Amino acid sequence: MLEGDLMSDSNTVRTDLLIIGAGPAGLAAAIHAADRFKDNADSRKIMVIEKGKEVGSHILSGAVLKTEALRELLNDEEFHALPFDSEVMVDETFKLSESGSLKLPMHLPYMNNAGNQIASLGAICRYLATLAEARGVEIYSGFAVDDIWYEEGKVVGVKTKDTGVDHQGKRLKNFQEGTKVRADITIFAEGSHGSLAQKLLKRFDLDGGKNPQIYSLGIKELWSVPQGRIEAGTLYHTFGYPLRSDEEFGGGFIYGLQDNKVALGLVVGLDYADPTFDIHAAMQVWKQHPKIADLLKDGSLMEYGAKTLPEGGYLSMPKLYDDNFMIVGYSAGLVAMPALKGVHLAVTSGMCAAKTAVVALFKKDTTSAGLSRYAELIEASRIHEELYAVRNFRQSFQGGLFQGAMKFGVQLLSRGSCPFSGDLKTEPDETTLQPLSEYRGVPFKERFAEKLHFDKKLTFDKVTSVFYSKAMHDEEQVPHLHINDLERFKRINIGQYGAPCQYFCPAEVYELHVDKEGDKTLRIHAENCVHCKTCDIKSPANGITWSVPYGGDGPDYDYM
Amino acid sequence: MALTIISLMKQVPLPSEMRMGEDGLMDRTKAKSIINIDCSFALEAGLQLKKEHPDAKLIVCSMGPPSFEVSLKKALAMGYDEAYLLSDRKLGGSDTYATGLALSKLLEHLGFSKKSKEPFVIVAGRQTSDGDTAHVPSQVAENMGIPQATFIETLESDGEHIVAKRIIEGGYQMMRLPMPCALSLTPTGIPPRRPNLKGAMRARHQKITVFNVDDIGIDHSKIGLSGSPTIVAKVTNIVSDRAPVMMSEGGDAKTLVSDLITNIESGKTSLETKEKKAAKAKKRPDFPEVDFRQGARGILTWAEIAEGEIIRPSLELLTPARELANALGNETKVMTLLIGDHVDALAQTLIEYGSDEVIVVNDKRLKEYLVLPFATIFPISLPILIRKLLFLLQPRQDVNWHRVLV
Ligand SMILES: Cc1cc2nc3c(=O)[nH]c(=O)nc-3n(C[C@H](O)[C@H](O)[C@H](O)COP(=O)(O)OP(=O)(O)OC[C@H]3O[C@@H](n4cnc5c(N)ncnc54)[C@H](O)[C@@H]3O)c2cc1C
Ligand code: SF4
Repeated sequence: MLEGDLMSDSNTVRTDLLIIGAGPAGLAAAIHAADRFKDNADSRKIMVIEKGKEVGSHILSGAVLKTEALRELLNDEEFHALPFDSEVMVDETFKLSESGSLKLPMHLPYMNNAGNQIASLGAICRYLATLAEARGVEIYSGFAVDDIWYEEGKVVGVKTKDTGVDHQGKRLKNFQEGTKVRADITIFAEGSHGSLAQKLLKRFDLDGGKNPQIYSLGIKELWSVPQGRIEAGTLYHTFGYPLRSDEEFGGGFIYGLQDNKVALGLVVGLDYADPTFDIHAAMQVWKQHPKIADLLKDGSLMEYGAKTLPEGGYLSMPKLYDDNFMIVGYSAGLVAMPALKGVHLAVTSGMCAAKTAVVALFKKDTTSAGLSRYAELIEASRIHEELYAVRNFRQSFQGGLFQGAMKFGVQLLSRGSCPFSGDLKTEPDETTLQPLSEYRGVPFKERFAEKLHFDKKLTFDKVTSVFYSKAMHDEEQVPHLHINDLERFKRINIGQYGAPCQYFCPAEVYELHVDKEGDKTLRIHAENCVHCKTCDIKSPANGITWSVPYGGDGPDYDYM
Repeated sequence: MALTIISLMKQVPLPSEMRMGEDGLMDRTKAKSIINIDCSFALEAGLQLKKEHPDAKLIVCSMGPPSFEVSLKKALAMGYDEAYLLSDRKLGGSDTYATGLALSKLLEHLGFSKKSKEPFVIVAGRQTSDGDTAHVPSQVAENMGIPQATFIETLESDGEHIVAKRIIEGGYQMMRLPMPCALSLTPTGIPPRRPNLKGAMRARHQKITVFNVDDIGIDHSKIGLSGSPTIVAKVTNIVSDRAPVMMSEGGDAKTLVSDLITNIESGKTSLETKEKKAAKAKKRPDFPEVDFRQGARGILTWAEIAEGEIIRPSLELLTPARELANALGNETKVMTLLIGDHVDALAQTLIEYGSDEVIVVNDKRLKEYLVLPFATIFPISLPILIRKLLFLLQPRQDVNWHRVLV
């Protein structure tokens, strides 16, 4: 940790407002702050740092967008030039069984998509980045922020990652020291389970008294299919098969895009119990359902990726600010359940943070008190409105779909509250797995024994899938995945749980190696990682820590 | 005396996305671009040199379309002080000869020549992934009349000389060159650094100076297509004549090995080779051929020796040489130059591999390969060959050989 020294300041830079992460939240904050500065004829500097090779390289989303927030952010001309893919025309939900499907006659509450737009969030972010730059915001992509700079216990900026070191961290000839960035206010917009945001939560106890955050993992594929299979603007959501309604929470999405492209994916709650459950494989099984297989037949896979999403909702939302910093978007856990929509909330939170930051800078009060307006703005915004009513939604399902539906039905009538039990708690995802010896259900591999041979046409093994994410990592660096305690990991993660990371990781990063003596060790292929953060969330007993690798490493998504 | 380090850099399409256009030329429009890998090692070599000579000035030069500015910015972010781009439509279609000329003119325009009082060194990538000729650094050095060294891995300087580590067959050569000089770098030395944020911020505000051909005063007839003697007669895609075979499949070592064994046992991995196609009728190129040979014909190869043995590529080379000689007919001969110390005995091997005549040059001082002495032997031995030179095939260019009518 950096306890502020300005001694070697040859490699230090300064800005007024610093934003970490160029997703919708970070870019909205940048754009709105720039507009506010301009309104006040002020020329303060805004800087955005993004770890993806380019803006958008690490962005993966559905995405069906609610557009009001973007309309508030942009002027008319800019809004109309947004690169949406297509407007939602058809919106249907199906309950799948192994080979059948049943169309629901109506929409689930909060799932209506009329008037929404389907888009590649990566494309939207690339466009927003050009708008930000046109406003004088400096965006630096390809730089990973891996440390927070503290002075007298307060955040005063960040440091980018040192590069040019070997596996042990020893400096090589091409060593480049990371740059320290000093800022009056730093906005953390790192997306789901941000690695710096996690440090802040701990250090300032921001999540004290809140429900632990819980997550889902979304696996997504982009396909090109023969003409006529699906109209652009068509949305299908599925639930049921291959998930068990009493054990796994989640479902599939299929979005028809322009030029005969289809975005599809499976999202599964990480609060499942089977230590051998494999979400990537579940997606491959899902694709073999006739409804989906027929759609994809003779098509070709174009891209693959995965990302987690926080689902705890209102009751898991931490305190979002303290002296000199604010947290926005997915890092703040902002998502509207059950529709999983987060982009409009990310944009709104970015705008609230920008408003707060600009006033705080003018008043020269960036202390916690000066930034408390951020929480007030959020409370008064659509974020509160949308999250509060469904605050107990996700927890209801921790006991299975049927129970969940019952509880949620009651909440719909009672405006979100649980009349008999009070607000519901969550359990952190890492504690819901059961040890191999205790798990009584049918293990994943047996459940789908016939469906796990991947033909590389419709279904793909993980290594092949990763190829389609274009993930790459410089091998000359300290591996960015760290086993926190080798002995404990061996005993608990491998011994009791059978190394669940080899199953839940969607990118074949973890391989359990068994030598001749039967001794089991974990091999880590960090170069495959698609930065979904599941291992950091789901490994039992806090087994694995994900930290940022070199900037520019990781997947290189085009249209995700 | 302040040292100037000049890096020549080219931007290329990402190799994995490179496609050949209909016209046989590289289609550079669709692929994402990167700094040519070898060039990025040259950029780093320059930065390493600066570590020892902190007051050295770092300059990066490139020739290409305006889109090259992205890579020049990256070089600035890595730590270069100045960036120059020679960009002009009239340069389109330039081959390596015209490119070498244009780049040396650019350097001259910037005040660098053989006569410069201040020392400078040129570092460049060995070759580019979209051209693969490895000509340009040498062409620049020749045009400027300064010493050069190729296949360099690392370099140092005492302020007056460059000491460079050069890869040769079977080991390294340490070369000492006076400045100014030009070096071409292999992608095996120190990997290029990633710029840090401060560098990127500095680069954002740095200017790239763009010149056109008239700025640097180069004769229009010497560049572009008209200045390019290379004629690409034809480009073909290599189509493998055997079907790919899956050796083994699986997610971990154990399944991989057992799958491999099963495949071998079941004969699934044996390669199917199609019958050799009947030799196609020779097609003449569709451009006019001029025969300057005046009756003299022959193919000259050079046999390189490492640790007392002829290196493999030199032997392999005799196969295409033999085929070419046969195709040319009229008793075209393959002649091989063999230089070294007590190497007579190896001549027999060369004859066995297809050479018709071997010219042996023996001398104690020629035991190790040295650029200048070896290079001088070539023209000296030419009269012996009585102007029989037709094709000169070098063992290093083992991939593509250009058709040059002499
Ligand atoms: C499968 C899936 C489907 C979804 N579907 C929808 C949908 O249909 N509709 C909808 O509205 N929402 C949807 N969402 C949610 C939506 O994608 C998120 O709400 C939104 O992306 C959050 O924006 P953000 O800016 O907070 O984070 P992100 O979009 O994740 O952006 C964070 C950025 O910060 C960068 N970053 C992170 N850490 C660092 C660091 N240390 N240094 C530098 N840079 C860093 C990342 O590379 C990334 O570019 C979906 C999400 C998923 C995963
Ligand atoms: S290593 Fe962790 S963060 Fe990377 S892809 Fe696997 S589970 Fe996701």
